[in-house]
Amino acid sequence: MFPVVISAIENDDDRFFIAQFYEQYYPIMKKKAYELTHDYSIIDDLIHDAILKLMKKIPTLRSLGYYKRTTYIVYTIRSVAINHNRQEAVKSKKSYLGMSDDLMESIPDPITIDEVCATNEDYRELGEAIEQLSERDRSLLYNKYNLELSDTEIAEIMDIPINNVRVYLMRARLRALKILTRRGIVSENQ
Amino acid sequence: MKINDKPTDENTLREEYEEALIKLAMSSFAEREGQRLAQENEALKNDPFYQPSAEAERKFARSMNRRYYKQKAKNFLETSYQHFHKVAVVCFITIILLATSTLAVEAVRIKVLNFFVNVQQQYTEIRIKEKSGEPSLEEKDIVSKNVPSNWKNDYAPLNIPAGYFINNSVNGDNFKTIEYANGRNEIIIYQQFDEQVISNIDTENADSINEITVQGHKGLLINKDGERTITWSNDVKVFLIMAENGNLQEEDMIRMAESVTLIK
Repeated sequence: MFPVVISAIENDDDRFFIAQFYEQYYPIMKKKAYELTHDYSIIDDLIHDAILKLMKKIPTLRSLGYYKRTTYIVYTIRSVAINHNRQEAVKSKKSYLGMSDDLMESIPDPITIDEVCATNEDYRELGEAIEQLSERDRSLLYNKYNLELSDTEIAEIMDIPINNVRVYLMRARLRALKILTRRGIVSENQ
Repeated sequence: MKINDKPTDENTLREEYEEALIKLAMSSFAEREGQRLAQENEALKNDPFYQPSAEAERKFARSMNRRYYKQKAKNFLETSYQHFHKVAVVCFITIILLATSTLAVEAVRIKVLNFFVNVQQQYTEIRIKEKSGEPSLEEKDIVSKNVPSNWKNDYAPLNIPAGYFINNSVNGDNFKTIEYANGRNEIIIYQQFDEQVISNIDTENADSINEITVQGHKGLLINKDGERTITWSNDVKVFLIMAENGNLQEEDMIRMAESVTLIK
């Protein structure tokens, strides 16, 4: 198996960690990358690129628990796949139907339709509340708070003008707080 | 770190509270999302379609290794650079003190070339590296009909397998080649390299790589996809004999290698 190939050359924790990583998360990375690109021929390259990105975050990855690490990896491969789509769109001079400025505005905000009754302010409910957000708000917040990306990086990955990143983030935060308020996790007078 | 001018300001505290709350919520979301994704991943692991191919694994391993060693080299250079200034002064003084006496000694100026075989993952690097020491070259009287007429003071094989003749040759300054062919489009290539020349032999996924002795010197015999390659050095030159003929016996090639002689 390839992890042995890697580790046999020199016993190194990080390399072994990444090799394990590749083996363990390849299936989900392949699936998520395909969901965005619909092209199996480039999946391995995208996974490779994602792993290279993750290699720079080894201390962070080590610090995360299994589930959070899984999310981290999936969001990383997603960002790589989205970036690939954007680059391909530029190459083919077609407009990229990603998170463009107009499209961002056109995505409905589920907060207006979701009404969840809950009163317990606990950790689990906080996570549930975030799930009520639209996908783009979740992505924005995840990129900001979990992946700790800069505004420039967020702008690139989500294909939005850099000047708008802060505004979108602020709106996403407000919407998240609104959900938390509705669920009784944050009181209205706070 | 951001300094708060009004640590007890209600709005500031509220902002900080909300920020912390969002972070906590995102942390919780990551946990929940991860749980779902991990389950999905475990299910996919049972599907062979979602396993990396052998080629993908190889490519990945090669890339990781390359990147790893590049990083190691970079780290080494950065560390070295930190100590460079101190070492440079010491080295400069040492070189000045030794230069005069060293350059005056004849023995040191004579080149002795050592053979280095560096087996790496994808290829085998062969080169001549200069090193100080005493040369030990023997001149031999050789005349051969198997050597191009314009080759002088060069090495060439004298024992060529039956049926082969010179089909082509290159007489470069540092790199020389003779191509022998028979009537069945089977060829044997003989090469010799001078110093400064680096040659790579494709040893990736070779069927076998064996150490052999040629003319008393260490060499390699590589089998890959029906091609056989013998390479060795006599402390002066590096030699390579390659046969693209599966029918040619190893013994014939070794015999040919053993017959390589300096042509005056």
